[in-house]
Amino acid sequence: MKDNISIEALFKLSNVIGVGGCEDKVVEVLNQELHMLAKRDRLGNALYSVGEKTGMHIVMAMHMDEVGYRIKEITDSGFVTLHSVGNIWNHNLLNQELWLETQNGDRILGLVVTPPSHSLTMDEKKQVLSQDKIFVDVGMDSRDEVLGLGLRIGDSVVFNTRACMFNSEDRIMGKAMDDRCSLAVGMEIIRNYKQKGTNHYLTLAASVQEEVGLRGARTIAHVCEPDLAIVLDTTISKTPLNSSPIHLGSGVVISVIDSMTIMNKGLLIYLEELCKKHNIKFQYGLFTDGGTDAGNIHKSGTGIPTINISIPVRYMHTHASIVDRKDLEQAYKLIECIIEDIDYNKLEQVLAQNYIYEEE
Amino acid sequence: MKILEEIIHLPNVSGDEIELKNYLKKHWEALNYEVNSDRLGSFIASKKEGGTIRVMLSTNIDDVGFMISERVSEDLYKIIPVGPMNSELYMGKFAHIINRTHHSIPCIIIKREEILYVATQTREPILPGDRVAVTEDTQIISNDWILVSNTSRKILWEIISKIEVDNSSITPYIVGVAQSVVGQRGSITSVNTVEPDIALLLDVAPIKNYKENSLYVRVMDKGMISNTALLKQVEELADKMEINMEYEYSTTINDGSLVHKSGSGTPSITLILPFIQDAGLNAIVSKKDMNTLVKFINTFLNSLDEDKVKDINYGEGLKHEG
Repeated sequence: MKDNISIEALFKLSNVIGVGGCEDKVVEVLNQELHMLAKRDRLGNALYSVGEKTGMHIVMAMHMDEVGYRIKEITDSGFVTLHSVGNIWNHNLLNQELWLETQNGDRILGLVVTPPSHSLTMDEKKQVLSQDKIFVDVGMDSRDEVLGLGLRIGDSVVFNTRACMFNSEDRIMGKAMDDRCSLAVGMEIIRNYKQKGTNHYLTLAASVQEEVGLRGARTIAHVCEPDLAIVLDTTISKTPLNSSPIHLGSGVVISVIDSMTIMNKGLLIYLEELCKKHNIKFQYGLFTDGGTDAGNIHKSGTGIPTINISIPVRYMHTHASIVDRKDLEQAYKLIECIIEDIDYNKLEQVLAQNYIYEEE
Repeated sequence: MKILEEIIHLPNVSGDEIELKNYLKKHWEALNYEVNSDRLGSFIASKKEGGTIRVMLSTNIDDVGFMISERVSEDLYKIIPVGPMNSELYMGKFAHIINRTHHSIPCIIIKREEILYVATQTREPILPGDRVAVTEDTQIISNDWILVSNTSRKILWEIISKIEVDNSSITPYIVGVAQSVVGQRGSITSVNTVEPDIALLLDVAPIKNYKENSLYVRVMDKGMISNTALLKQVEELADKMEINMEYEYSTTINDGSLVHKSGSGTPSITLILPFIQDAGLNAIVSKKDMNTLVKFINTFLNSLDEDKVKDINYGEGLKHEG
């Protein structure tokens, strides 16, 4: 199978800091990789467009932000407290190394304070520390010393995890696979069509603030008003500790339903047929404990037909998540097939559920 | 109850409402209405050659139900709820799986160790994402009372189907909101499509201290406070028509929550069909209440003029000038 996804670029995307509301470093990577300058909307979404402006407008939305923290307070004794940006279980946090990013971009190493296990009662050992008991040690003894490092309230904090291959040629581990792995896919699609051209008007909408309420998706829908949106995000895959039917390496996930979007039935059938025709491995996603940018895009304006697809990931919203390169390739292939196949007429037939796929 | 009897068995689980939409399309086209849809799938019928005042009369076209999530064996499938519900109420009930090609496959809803399933025997293909629609029913008790499944708002379409507008100033937009029970999703897209001057929303609700043959008007709920000027006009008209009006409050939410604050705002009010003896899945409804609603809505629509709409719209006039 031809590799379309640049692992090197994915590593870069995963390693930069881009907590919700501070995604500029991700945009810098995209600008460099695509040799394009993003058009930014007023919330900060980065838009990269190729193709014919008169063509069908297809928007691919993938979010740039990652879960993380902002510095909430610096104590007199030089510890830092955190405000979460996105959903992180504190159970995953104790004794983790963090990067705290100063306003001028310096990274300060921090370590999450852990209570001494020897002095914990049995009951305390069973509990997850509440947010007000999470402190970060940055090696200083006073507020002034911490300020001297260049840190201040509001600065971004993320996990200190460098992306790497995970003991195989397919498994990739990093801190922000949700949703930088999708960005890596979208970036390659744009790179491809920038080179070969398309009759459509194709936009990569790298969205901001997804993890705090799909905020960027709203303005993307308003600014772009696309004919069709393709949202690529990540979804939870099976481990011994959950009951997800999604498996890493078993293909792209067609999200039939999540807590915010129900896939249009015509589009669902269309995707199934397209996958079968092009031998794309796919799985069904019916995950109702979360949503994606599709949740806000599909109900914007008078409604936007939206394809909601995902890449399986293990350990989402933790310091290290794992994806499989094969799933990224299948996601790439599916999006490419949609772009090659869809037109205005076909889209209307699909939405009316009277489109019958004909084998060529 | 012709309409209700014809549509009560049509599956309409949220996001797959095509059977009900097709029925409504046929019905309203025969009445010289132009039928359209927003891009989310809401049903929109507007009277041809209507006037400049746009009045949206809406209820939802979807219903709670289930969705196939996983095949366990040839005759057993895991399901997940679609829309908020007390799933305990559905245990042992008959239902239908609506597959990709919209074949309807009878099944039973069961629960084992906190996991929901449907059991069936079929060679028809069943896939994740196929809807499971609970079998609904209606029965006439007497000339005045009927039994109806209360999970859906299908009974409201019996009322809406009797709307007769003979007012050249207005264009009625009959709106069936798609994906309402999963978060009023189609209410945004439909109101953005119609851009009405006024919205009348129809809903059902269990009523305490019920008074028969009254007009129930929702003053506020979790998502909307009825437009004051519109409420005043409703009060005045009810008084003029000698209809007893009752006020209703709700801790729930309906499509009005998004309709009234879309765009530059849409004056909105919710009219309620009372459910009496609301018994979980089923309720009793008074035909007199239905007739009262029909009579009131028809009179209201036929009495509207630009001045009244201007009053309701804080003097702003119509959204779309003729």
